Amino acid sequence: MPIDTAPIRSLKARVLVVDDDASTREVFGELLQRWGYDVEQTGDGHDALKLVTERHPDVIISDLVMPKLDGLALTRALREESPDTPVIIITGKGTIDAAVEAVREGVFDFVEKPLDPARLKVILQRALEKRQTEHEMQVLRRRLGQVDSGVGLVGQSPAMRKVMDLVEKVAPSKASVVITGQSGTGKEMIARAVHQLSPRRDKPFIAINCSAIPAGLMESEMFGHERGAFTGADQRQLGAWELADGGTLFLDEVGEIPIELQAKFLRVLEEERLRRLGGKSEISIDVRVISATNKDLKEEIKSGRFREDLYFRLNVFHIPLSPLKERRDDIPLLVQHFIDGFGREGGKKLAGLTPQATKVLSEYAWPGNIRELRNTLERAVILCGSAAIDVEHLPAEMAVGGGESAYLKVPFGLPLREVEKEYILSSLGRMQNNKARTAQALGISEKTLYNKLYRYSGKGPRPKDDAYDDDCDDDRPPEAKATGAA
Amino acid sequence: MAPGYHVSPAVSAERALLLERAAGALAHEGKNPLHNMVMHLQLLAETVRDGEQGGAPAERHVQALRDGIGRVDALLQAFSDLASPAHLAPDIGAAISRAQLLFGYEARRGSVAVMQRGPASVPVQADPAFLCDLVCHAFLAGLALARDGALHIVVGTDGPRTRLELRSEGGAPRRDEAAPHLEAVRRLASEAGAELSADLAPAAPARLSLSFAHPR
Repeated sequence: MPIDTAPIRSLKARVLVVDDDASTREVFGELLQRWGYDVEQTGDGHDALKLVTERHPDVIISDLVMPKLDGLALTRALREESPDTPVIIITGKGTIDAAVEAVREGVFDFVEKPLDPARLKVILQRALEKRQTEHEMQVLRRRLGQVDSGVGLVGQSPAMRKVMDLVEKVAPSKASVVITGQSGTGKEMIARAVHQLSPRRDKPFIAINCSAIPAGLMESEMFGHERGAFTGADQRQLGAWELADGGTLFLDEVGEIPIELQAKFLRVLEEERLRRLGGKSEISIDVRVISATNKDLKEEIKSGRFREDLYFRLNVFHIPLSPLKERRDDIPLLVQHFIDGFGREGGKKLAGLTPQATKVLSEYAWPGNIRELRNTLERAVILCGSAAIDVEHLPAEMAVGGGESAYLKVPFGLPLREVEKEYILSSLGRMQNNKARTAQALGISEKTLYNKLYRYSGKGPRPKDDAYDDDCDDDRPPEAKATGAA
Repeated sequence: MAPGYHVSPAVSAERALLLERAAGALAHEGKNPLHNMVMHLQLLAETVRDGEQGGAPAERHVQALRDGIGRVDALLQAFSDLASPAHLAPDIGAAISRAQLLFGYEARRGSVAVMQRGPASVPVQADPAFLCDLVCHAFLAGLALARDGALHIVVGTDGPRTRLELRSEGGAPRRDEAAPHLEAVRRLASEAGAELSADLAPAAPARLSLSFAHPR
């Protein structure tokens, strides 16, 4: 899976120059601007701290000796406020002691005046690379555990063609998108496709499953926190909004966002600014939001669990996904796509599917949609070795008759014992009288199946040595069984 | 110190200390203008390379280079004067300017805001060989007593005499750092022909006053 990482926020990197000598500041600023940087200047360490919280520079160049707050004290203070911002200390009087202390304080580089411009260029470049690497590390840490769905946009059914058309239309804009569909229909895949086709494709795609984050952690995960914002916040952490800056934030199971946080989400969407937990200043962000849900959000609004204003802000563009059973035309293409993929992964050359297996896959109802199809084929590829995938490599319940035509119709009022009998005999018929596979599909032992069939045959009581190994046909109440009562 | 002067070992030691500090300050203070000149040279080179129209940008960098050279020159001159003061005209205004130029770095390091009032040149009757050291020690004592605060310097006439007053206000005075300089001021005041009055009570702002006779 290609890793989405972002360069630093601005196209022009921001440099903060801190020097109490006005002429030094000015000439530095002029040269750096000429080199394409955005430059802020201040002559005071305290002012510098304020500017860092307000403007979030990418690199800081600071003089060592300054009134009130010197370069090293500034670096110390920045470790709390903005630990991943590299600080370059320049000094007129560079001693070994000062350099060692500076390194201990965590400065990026310590250089003496007069500074060679060519060297300054290289140092700045390295500092920005470090800053970017730190940012990428944070993105990657957050993405760790998010596994590739392994699903491409595959399908030629009218339903899928319509979805592809919608994706192509909405991708170039910044419009918020809501993707709806049953679980496993590929909502994240569609969100990724929108991102990949958008001008944001080189920026991060951050996927958050809102139902997987405990409510108490959601605010911190989404908005980030400063060090010391709460017990256990031992270092600053960027939230998902900030990590997605410039790119796309995918909010899966959006209906699970706690109602008390929804107003905060709405404010970020409207103002494009946020404040980390414990943060002193607001941070500008530029994020496109794609949400997904298998809930009916309108029902959630009616029941007071979802804000209507947030719904309208998120649902600028709607992409509905059909369940797989409604686009069966796509199943052969998806099957081929997954088999090819798993074959490549396992270094196998697969012989394809037998006609029987193809029939089973095509007729099955696929309640778990594409995800279930993918998992089924991954398992089958493992089981089949180098042979063609056959019915025996598919889950037994699928072969029992997962197709729409194979449902057992049972009239109301039929005694439970009769329902069981009908079900067992029907299953046996669909398994071509194979008792071992039928027992496996029904989740009972083969001996129990034999016992039941013996009774259904009307041949009287079972042989004495053939004891029941379960109580599945003993429908007396538990207390009666315990007392031995009839 | 010019040949022929007889100075006590204490004065010699204090002088050595002063020169050492001034040399350190010179190394530091000289680098700011050198650094700026390098930056302006780079800008000038890029302006020429890019063939930018109009003479104004280039002229500005050239002027900045001239200013930088002037600043380095002034620093070297101040250090040279401190090293051999006997040839100097006794001028209290020039002496305090020299001290500021050489030890301005110490003021920044100690977060002291220095404010000066009075004419730039005030000739006085004093031995120039000692006047320069006296004023530098008084300035350094004033800085130590004004740490993280303000040092007010006033040069003016007071009847028949010219007065240099240094008043240290606010902040966190470093009396231990001031002590050797105050000792030197006491010793050098009589050698230079100055009258010293000092108010160093802990609760009030520290005040050092040196008065000199007008030149004949």
